[in-house]
Parts: sequence; structure tokens; C-alpha cells
Amino acid sequence: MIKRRQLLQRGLKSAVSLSVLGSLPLGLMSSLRAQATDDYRATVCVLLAGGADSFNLLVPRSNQAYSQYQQRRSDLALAQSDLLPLDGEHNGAAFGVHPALSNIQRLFNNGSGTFVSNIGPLVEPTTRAALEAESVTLPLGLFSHSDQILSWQTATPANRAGTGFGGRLIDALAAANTGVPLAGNISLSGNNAFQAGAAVGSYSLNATAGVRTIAGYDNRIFQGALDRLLADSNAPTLQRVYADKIQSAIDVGGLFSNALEQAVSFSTPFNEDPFSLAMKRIAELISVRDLLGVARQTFFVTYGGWDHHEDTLGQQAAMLPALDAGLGQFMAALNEIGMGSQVTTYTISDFGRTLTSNGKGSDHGWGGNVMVLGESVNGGRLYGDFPELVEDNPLDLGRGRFLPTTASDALFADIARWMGVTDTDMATVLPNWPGLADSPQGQGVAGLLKNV
Amino acid sequence: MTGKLCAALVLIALVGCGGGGGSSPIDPPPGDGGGNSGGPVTPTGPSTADYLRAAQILDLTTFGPTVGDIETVAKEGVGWWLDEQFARPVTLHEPIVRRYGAQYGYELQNPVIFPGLYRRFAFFENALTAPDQLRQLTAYAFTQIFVVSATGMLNNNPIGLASYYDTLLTHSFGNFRDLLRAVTLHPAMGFYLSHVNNAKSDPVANTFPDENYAREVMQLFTIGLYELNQDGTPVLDTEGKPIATYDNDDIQAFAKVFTGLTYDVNAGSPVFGRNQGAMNLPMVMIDSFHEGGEKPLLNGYVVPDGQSGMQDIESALDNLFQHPNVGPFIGRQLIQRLVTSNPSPEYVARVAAVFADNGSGVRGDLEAVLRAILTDSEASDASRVREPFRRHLALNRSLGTVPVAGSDYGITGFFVQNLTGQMVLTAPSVFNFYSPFYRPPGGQGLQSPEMQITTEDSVVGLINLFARALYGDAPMHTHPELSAVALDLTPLAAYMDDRDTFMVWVERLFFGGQMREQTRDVLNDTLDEVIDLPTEDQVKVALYVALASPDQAVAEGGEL
Repeated sequence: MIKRRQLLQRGLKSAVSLSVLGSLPLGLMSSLRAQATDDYRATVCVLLAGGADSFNLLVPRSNQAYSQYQQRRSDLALAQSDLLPLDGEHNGAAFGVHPALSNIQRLFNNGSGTFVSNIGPLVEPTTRAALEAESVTLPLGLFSHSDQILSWQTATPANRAGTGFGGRLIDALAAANTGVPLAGNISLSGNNAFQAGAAVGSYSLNATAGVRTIAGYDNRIFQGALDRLLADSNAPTLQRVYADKIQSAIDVGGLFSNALEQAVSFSTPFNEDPFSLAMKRIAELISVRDLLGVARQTFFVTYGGWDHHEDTLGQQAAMLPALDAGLGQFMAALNEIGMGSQVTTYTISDFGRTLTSNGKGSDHGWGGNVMVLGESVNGGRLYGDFPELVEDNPLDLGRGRFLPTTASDALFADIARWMGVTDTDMATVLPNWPGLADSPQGQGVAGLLKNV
Repeated sequence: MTGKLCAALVLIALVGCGGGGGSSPIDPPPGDGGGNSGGPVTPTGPSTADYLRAAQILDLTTFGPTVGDIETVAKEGVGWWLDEQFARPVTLHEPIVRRYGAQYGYELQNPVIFPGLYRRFAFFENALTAPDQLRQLTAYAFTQIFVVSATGMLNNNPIGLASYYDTLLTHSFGNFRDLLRAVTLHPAMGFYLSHVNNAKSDPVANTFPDENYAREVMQLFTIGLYELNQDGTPVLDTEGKPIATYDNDDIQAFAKVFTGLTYDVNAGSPVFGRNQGAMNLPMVMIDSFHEGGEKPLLNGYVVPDGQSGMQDIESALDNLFQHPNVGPFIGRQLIQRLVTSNPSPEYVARVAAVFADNGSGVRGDLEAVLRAILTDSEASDASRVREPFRRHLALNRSLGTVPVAGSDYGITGFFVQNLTGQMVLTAPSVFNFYSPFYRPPGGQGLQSPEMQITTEDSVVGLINLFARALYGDAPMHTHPELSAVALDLTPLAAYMDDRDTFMVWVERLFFGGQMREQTRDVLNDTLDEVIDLPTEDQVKVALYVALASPDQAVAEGGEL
């Protein structure tokens, strides 16, 4: 659409507007530049909001397993011949990915990508029997979007403590960062539960517009007036919270705006859809990590619209190419700057969906399949236990809603260790992990990440 | 976006900008009054307190008060205003969409104007000019509870979305039960939550009823996830844990209820499974695709075997409507949308009591509920971050913008959506732009839904949108076929002869009648610095500072 495109171009142009440079804390900038951080590590959380039907992203390809899949999924089944083959056999079966996921296929087959299958939030080790006996604490609001999306992001599925996995991760690693604290958690998709920390929140950057600066703030009179308004320390709480957002936009915005000016111009072409643009911004920010004074960082980006209660096949075919392209381009751009092994990217989603069809699409489930990508990934093999897709599988809680065989905490714990979280801090970062670690549901991802 | 607006903009006089039509955007009030609850009017006119009450109630009940509104309500009183608003006939959106359709067509390929915009034009036209402001605003609040969003086909179907909006408008002052039925059967909702063409179980094909609407009608539209006390707090079990209102078996039972619906058609007979039909007529039931049998629903109620599909739906909606959660669940959200983010349990309980019984034994009377919300003693102690989108609307309504037929779509378009993060009927999901329960970091535990979309990026975007409205030397994306819209600053400029009068009117128009002393000082000092500018430029400077202030961003009552 032409007008969208024009908007986009205007937005990009405004990203390089430098009217705020005059207010940059230049002393801070030069001191940061000296702090090149060779041991930099970052993790990128891609939230597929809405509950992606991930049993159509990773699909068994061997004849018997495929026919079970086809039987359970009926009109939602992908054609066996359309699946893009993954190398090797896993748990005795061959697998393939959705035909739109050619980059994911390539990354898996070259060893830098994988899936963790039937993974989902758990509070404690949970068997079918314990679940039915109601003798186990379950995640709040199972099968509800708003709850399970929080369970994944917070990694505290039994309560809403107000902090998320990414936020607590950077809280624990804060000593590694020398720049402004907010630079530790950067969101391309606004406020989110994932990056809420006890100490620090996230900085929100607009993927298309870049860093916006306040019109007229470089005017002495307007700046003076706004500064005084923001300094009204006796203002009521919500006004204070709002004022702090503006203040943070002024203080941190200049730093980011200047850093992005110096970002690497990648030869890897990125698409112009919002997801690819967000991934491009992340790659750009990683290229100027030393300017931001960060050695440990999380990035958060949402790609929404996966609640496919109808037209699953059509909507996935329409939406997956952008996901696949954005992830593939991001990985290529990281390799271009030699950062492929220092960034680990993974997808999460509200939940997996029912295997069975409602005649048009699928409904809300629990366990699903997530992707993990990066040069630090021991790829080329699957993690977790891919469930047998048959009706009498005891993991099937009805209509093909799977009790997870791997806790999301298991993946998060691996990522946390890779980021440098000590065993001592692990219980703070992942409060339920100590209770899950030694159970079968804590085991599924052992060895997934190299360079831990 | 507006980074190009250079520093000098704040100070430079922009010849030819900011003028525009001078007609009032609302009808003059009826001359015969109709009530005198405002108390005796002295020969010298309304008192300062009358003006304050007028500014407060208009802040809560319009898309942005005008000078004329405030004068009228200060004179006639709050009671008169509410009576007048509840008595107003509805101003619909669909006729406006059809007006644009007749003018520009509905062609999706290379259209003169993208038809998906017509329903935005209709919304803005009514938000800014319709006399039934409270009804328009209430329907807008309901768009954030009964969420339908312009996705997929709906974005291309302005009739469907306008008709959905009109459904909310029509029932905004009626009974919640009727609203719930109308929402459930509306084809835009049927499309959005996929219960249109939802077929009964098919054992051969191994398919089951779609659970989407069954789940969200409970979680979002009626009762919520947990059993509530009438004051909105959760009922706790013996271990201190909340009690779920339903489980997955209930979801599957409700899913069976919502089978068999399809689009109605303007000619011929409806056919189950067809992906098109009338987007402005309620869906119809095709019983042969409806799942029969008993369906155990909530609180021990069982839908009996043998009913028609539509009877099943009525039974299920009754079951939900009678659930004690509805009053506190919906009441609290309406309070949050219209008045304050953290209502006391007592406030919620007072509103829930009216929902349960309007005083004449009627449950679900929304006019009574709205009166209870707006006239509660806590309403003047509001504390609520103003919605970015409504701040944009309010500037345009309060300053006499004149978007009549064929108006500028710049104030309705993607530019505004991008900078405010919002657009009517365009939420990212059925969970709206924000959660009613969102607690911002640093907020001392307070809930503030609107803070969920308030980021470093969005606060700058919104300030820049104000800069664009005040200083933009070109209208925003005006289409050649449409006429430009500009703010009319002349009424405010006329008050500038007396600084105090000017300040008072800025306060009444944009601060709900109450500005912090600190904010007032900053505005005064800033005006002192630009005293040599032409009057209208002084007005712009003052407005830009005022609109950029956190004090304006957050509606605050009693803590002054």
C-alpha cells in the first residue's frame, strides 16, 4: 500500500534527525566508547502472539508418524510432500518443517538451529495423574491467551509477581553493563512482561521510526518549560510515572539516536515488513553495543496474529514467510559482524494449539514447539520429547492439547547459564527451576547451547 | 515523524496556519433548558464552582469539551446535562459510511480513497460533531471491552465495522442482556472470533466446535476468569487462592451452543459455510449445523435437549447474564474506561448494585449503571492516564475543528495510529490495547491500563502529534478529494487580553477544570517569555506546553 510505504520512508528519515544531538551527554559517550565488550552476549525473544499452531511448524515426516499426524489434524494437516525435510532421524522418526520455513530448515541442517518440542510453562513437575487428582499447582489460567502469554514471559506461571524472565536475567547480570541501565533490555514492541525487572524495565524503540525526538525540544524556551514540568516531584503517582517516561525518552533517546547513527550498514538485505525491520534494528543495535555500554542484553519483539481459530493453513502460509525471512536475515546479518555465536534467538508463543480441528482451525492448547537459533546452538537435532500424535497418548488432555514434557524453565535455565547467571542466582532468575531441574520435565534441553 | 519541526517553530509565527472555520462543532443546546439541577443562577452568571463541575463532567462525558459546552453546562447544571444526553437519539455511523461509499465507491483496487477509511471518517465525524456525545463515548468504551478489530476482511469492510459500532451505540443506554445478544450475533464479531460458520462436531471428519467465542465471551465479555465479590475483589478459597469461574469442560459446552450460525444475506437464502453475506445484519441460525443435546453450563444450569439453536444461545446468554460476576466485572471496566483506574471496592460495589437492580427490579440497565458511575462521589477524585487517542480527539473537538462531510483524513489515518498507538476498532487482539489489570513499574502498585501502551516512543510520538496539529504547515495527509481541517485558535486568542481568563479556559478545556499550581506557573512564565509574539502564536506556545505536560496527560481529581 503506497501510503504505508510513504509513511515508512518518512519514519526512517526522521530516525536520522539529529536535533537532539545538542543535548547528548558527550562525556558519557566518549567514556562508553572505550568500553568495548568482547564477551558480549544477548538473547532475542520473539513472541508469536496469539498462540502459534506450532504442530504445523515442526511435523513428523516418516510414513507412520505422518499418518498419525494426518489422522489427528484432519483438514489442518500439511501435505507430506510439502514438508521441507530436516536431516537425520529423531526419536526414530524423520521430521520436516512448514514449507514456508526454508531458512529455518537451512539453519537446522547446518547445525545452528533447532526446535524444542512439546515445551510449555509448568510450576512444578506435573504428571497426568497429579493433574487429574488436582494435587499439583498449575499455571494460572491454563488455555487462556492473556494468562499463558504471561506465564511464558514471566516464567512465574503460578503468580503475577510483576517481573519477567528477561528483566530478572538482566537484573542478575547488571554488573556486566556499564552504560545506562535501560539499555540492558530493549523492546521493539513496547512495554512487555518479559523485560520487567525488579530493578530495571525496558527501553522501547520504534522499529520503523527509529528513535523519535521531541519536536521543539532544542528550543530554549520550550525545553526549559518541559524540563520544569517533568521535575514536578510532588505530582501524583501516575503523573510521576508518566513524566518519567518522557524524561527517559529525553535522556536515553539521545544516546540511542546517536548510537544508531553509527550502526553497521549491513549488506544482508532485510525485508520491509515490520518484523524484518525490527530484526534489522536489533542487529544494528548489536553492532553498536560498545556505544551503549552493554555486555549482557535482551531484546524483545512481538509478531502477532497467530490465533488461527480458522483458516490455519491459509493464514500460516501468509504469515510464516515474513517470520522465516526476518529470522534468516537476522542470522545472516549477525554473521556478517561476527556476532552469530554471541546472540541466541528463540520463539515463544501463548501456547500450542489443539491437534484436532474445529472444522476451520485449531483452539487453545498448552505444550508447543519453539525454535532456538544461533551459532551457539547445538543444532541439527531436536530437543524435548516430540509426542506421539495419537488420541490415546496419555499426554493428550483432550482434542490434542498436550501436557508439556519439557518445562519452559528448562530452556530458560539453559539460556540463563549461557548468559552467565551463576547457580546461586538461578533461583532468583527462575524461582520454579530448583523444583523442576531434577524432574523429567527439567531434562529435555541438556546440551542445547554451546559455550555455556 | 515531526523531527523536521525545527526549534524555531515554537516561536515563529506561521502565517495562514491555525485559522479555519469558526462554527461550533455541536448543536446549540435546547433553549428551554429541561432541568434546573444546577441550582439558582445569579444574574452575574454561573459561579466558579459551576464552571469546575461543568468542566469535570464534560471531561468524563464527551470526546473533549468546547467553550460552548462548558458555558451551557455551567449554566444549566450537571443533572440537566446528563438528562439531556441520555435523552438524545442515537447518531449512527453506517449512514455516514454509505455517504462516502456513494461518493467514492467501494472499489478495493485503485480506489479514489481506500474504503476501509470510511468507517474512520464516520467515527471522527461523530466523535467530533454528534450531539449525543455521552452515547458516542460509551460505545467507544464498549469497543474496548467487546473488542472487534479491523483485521483481514474486516479492514476492507467499512459497512461491517460501522454496523458493529452502531450496534454498540444502539444498546449503550439499554440493557446489557440485549447488548450481549446483539454483540454475539453481529457478523463482525462472528468473523473476528470465528463463530460464524462454526459447525457441530463431525465424528467422521474428526472435527469439534470452535471454542473461540465460547472462551472469550466468558473471559472478556461477561464474567472473567475468577469468582468475584460484588466489590470486584476475588473470592478466595480456604487456601487464599482465587476460584476459577469455568473450566475447559464448560468451554466445550459453550462451544456447542455457538454452533450453527452463518451470515444472513440480502437476497436468497443463507447457506451455512459461505464466507460472505450481509455484514450489517445479525447472523442467522441453521439448525442442521447446530449441535444438539444437553449442555451443562455454569452454576448447575443445563441447556435442555431439543431446543432450537437460537433458543440454546438465548439460554446460554441468560446463564452468563445472571452470573453474579457481570456487574462488578463489567462495571469496574466501565469505571476504568470512563473515570478512574483504581476505583475503590466500595465504588465498584455501588455500581454493581445498580447493575443488579436499577431500583425498579431490572438487572443490567446500562443507563442506570452509567449514571451511577458518573455521579458517584469518587468520580471527581479520578486518577487516570488519558488515552493517547482520546487526547488527540479532544484537541480536535475542543478547539472547534470542523470536520464535516468530506473532511481531512489526516486526523483519522495511519499517521495518527502510528503516533498514538491506537485507532478505533484496531486493537492488536481481542485483549484490547491494554489489560484492565496492568500495573506500571514505579506506580506503587496502582493499576493503569493506559500505561501499558505508554513508552519512551509513544510519549514523544504524541507530543509530536500535538506539535503537528499546532505548528504543522501542511495538513496531515489531506487527500485531494477531501477538505483540510485546521484548529481554530481564535476563541482562545480572544481570552488572551486577560492572562488569568486565558489560563482558566485552558484549564477548563484540557485539564478537567483542575491544573496543578506548578503547571500553571510554568505556563505563565513561558507566556512571559513570548509576550512579544502575536497573540495567536502565544496561544500556540501555551497550548504546546500545556499539552506536553504530564499534568494534562493524566486526569487527576482530588489530590490537588
